[in-house]
Amino acid sequence: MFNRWFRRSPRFDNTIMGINERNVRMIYPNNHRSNYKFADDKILAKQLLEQHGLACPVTYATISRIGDIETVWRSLNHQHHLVIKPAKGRGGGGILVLTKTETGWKQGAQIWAESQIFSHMANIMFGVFSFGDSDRVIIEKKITPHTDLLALFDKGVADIRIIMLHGQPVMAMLRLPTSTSKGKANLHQGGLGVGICMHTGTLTYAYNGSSYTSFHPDSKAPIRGTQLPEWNSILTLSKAVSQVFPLKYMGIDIVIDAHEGPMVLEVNVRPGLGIQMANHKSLKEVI
Amino acid sequence: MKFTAYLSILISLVWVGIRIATNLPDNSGVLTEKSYEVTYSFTLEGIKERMRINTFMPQDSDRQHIKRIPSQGTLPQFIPDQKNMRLRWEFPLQADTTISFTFEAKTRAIAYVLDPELNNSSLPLDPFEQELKSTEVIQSDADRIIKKVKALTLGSATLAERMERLYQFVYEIPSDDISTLTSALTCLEQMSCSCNGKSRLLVALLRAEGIPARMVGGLILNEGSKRTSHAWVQAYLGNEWVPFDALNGHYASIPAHYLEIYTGDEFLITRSKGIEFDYRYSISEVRSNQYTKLAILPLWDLIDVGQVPEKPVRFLLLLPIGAFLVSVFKNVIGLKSFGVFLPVLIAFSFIEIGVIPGTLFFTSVLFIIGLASSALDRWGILQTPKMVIILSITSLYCLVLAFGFLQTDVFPPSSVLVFPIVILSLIAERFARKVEEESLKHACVVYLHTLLITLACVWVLKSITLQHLLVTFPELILSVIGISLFLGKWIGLRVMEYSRFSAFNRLPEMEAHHV
Repeated sequence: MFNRWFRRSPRFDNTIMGINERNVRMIYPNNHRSNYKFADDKILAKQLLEQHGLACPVTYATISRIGDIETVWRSLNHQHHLVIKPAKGRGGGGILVLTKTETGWKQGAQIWAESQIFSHMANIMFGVFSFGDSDRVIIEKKITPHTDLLALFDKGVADIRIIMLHGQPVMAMLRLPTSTSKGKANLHQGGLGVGICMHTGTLTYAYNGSSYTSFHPDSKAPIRGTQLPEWNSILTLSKAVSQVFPLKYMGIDIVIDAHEGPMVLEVNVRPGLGIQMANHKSLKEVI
Repeated sequence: MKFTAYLSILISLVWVGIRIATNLPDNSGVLTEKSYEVTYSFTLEGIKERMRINTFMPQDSDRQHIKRIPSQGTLPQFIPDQKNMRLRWEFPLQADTTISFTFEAKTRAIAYVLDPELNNSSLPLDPFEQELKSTEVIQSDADRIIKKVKALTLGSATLAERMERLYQFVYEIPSDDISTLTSALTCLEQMSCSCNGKSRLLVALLRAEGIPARMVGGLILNEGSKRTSHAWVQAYLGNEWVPFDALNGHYASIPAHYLEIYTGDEFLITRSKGIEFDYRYSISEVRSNQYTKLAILPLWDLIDVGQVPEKPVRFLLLLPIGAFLVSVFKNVIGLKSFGVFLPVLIAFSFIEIGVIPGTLFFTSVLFIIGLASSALDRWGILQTPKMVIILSITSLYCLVLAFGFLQTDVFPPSSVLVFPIVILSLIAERFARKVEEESLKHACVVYLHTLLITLACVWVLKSITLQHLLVTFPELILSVIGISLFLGKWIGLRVMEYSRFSAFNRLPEMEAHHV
């Protein structure tokens, strides 16, 4: 008698999957809580990926003690580009993308003195970006965005979110940074979500968090119909990743490096539901 | 899962049902009545050869039933007169003495509908001589009173209409707290008076209009102990004495917690002068049905014998209900809150100190801690020492506020001290972090959601009926578990998600065609 009431919500009946349903039907039955750490901690995730020879940005160093900051930093002196990020950060907080210039290290146009970089890394370890847990610092190679995608947006890194269920890619979304998202590509931070046709790898609908558009808001480049480069290797990589991780339902974030091709940026146990909007398709249809 | 859920709901409901069924015969008619235990207590200090105290004992009527509860100590003389039951203690006072007198009162609300056809024309004046005559303080033959009545009743056709106009006039007079005797005329001249002044004025106006009317003295029965009594009016309309309270706005009705003690313009207590005298009326609501048979956890018994303090028991039982409310707000509505169950704890303190001071205090702490926390983050202070600083600022702020309230008298100073400061600091810190991680706007949205959930919790949890229900039937908590099991498997969209996903149905036509 109650079953009908429990399964249905009148207006979006069988259209959209909400948080309750995602948690009850996707996350809890498919992922054991003790395995969340492989997604929540980027260092553990990268170790797993590296062990199995799966592509991810080269790790230059990880730092887990404040005392090691300076020594590690000196050892990286010869690098010209690098990314500093918290292992357990969320929503892209605390990420520093640095380039060495004649006037010193810069993120964009802003100069970062060595002392500032050190205190940023100390803050990461104090848990400023990871909900108060003590954390570790990852220093890794900077990604050069694939030229095919550069036409679509100005600054930042676009990534591709693939939803994996029982080893199969079921839905995908390209996330494009916009000027309002400050270089980040998350939907709730103002990024643009673009649906991807799973068979062909062409872009379908673009959703900006409140409505559908056909152009990128900054570059005005038309989005629909654009072919994503290396789509087949992205799918192959995703399948390989889900073989390695003990998570049957997850979101894999992939970037396409201009030189090295698709690589895994991070893995997510609680992938957002906005992907349904970008694809104009319910997750209920794919399970 | 479903089995467990159904089972826990079933067990608790069946258990409650059995207890109600087995306890029923002793408790007929408990639903409409309220039952109170009232104690007069007098303390006397000094020496007096003939000490005398007079008061009244309430009597049975259509709406109240009185039962004396024997107590130790000196018994009064019971002196009935035409209308009231007087009580008199008379004895030589040689040392400090306490006298108390206790009775149980079962009362219910009563309301009359005044018939528009009502008239008093056939009234025999004789028996109502007392209720129509002018007295020193109810000056119904004074010119001003008579003129006022004429002005007020001008053009009114029916008795009911005149009644309403006179009542409305007195009701609209601003009230004050002066407890000394105010006469009808004084009240009319000052246009501001207390319950006894208003009642005398209404009686005077009615008598001047020829409606028999009298004062009624009694107590408003609220749990606790107090020194104030209350006075209202009865008018003889359609062969009945109909109550009117022009201070609290009860027209032809009185609520259940009004106890009539005497009629006539009397004092509730009179006594010999020349000694130190103090008095109190202590009132406690009697729980008429505790369903003691088959009670596995007879909480009332434990509370009544003083083995378990009542307040913590209530909070303990309300906690699951509050938590369930929060989960409904989060999982069904989709509101966000600081902490999962912190709103319940905040709601408890709101219930203690009042919603408005509570909200003001809560908001101001959030604001102050928000500022402090962003400064501390800018200086890069470590998390734990940061929390120490935040807690210290909150404590200091509470003390300063308590001191401030002491000066201004608006809120009781103790109100801020009962707030759970640690919980408050936790919420404030989460607020500050939301500002840092997301945005001020987002943090304010979550704050508003938290406040909304908190107020909803206050609204539900402060219900005495709910509290008594839970203390009587603690097994209902099992049902909360059962219902939560169902809620935990509910996969419908949250209400807020409808707007989040609303664009789904607004895909532009041409786009839909293309792919």
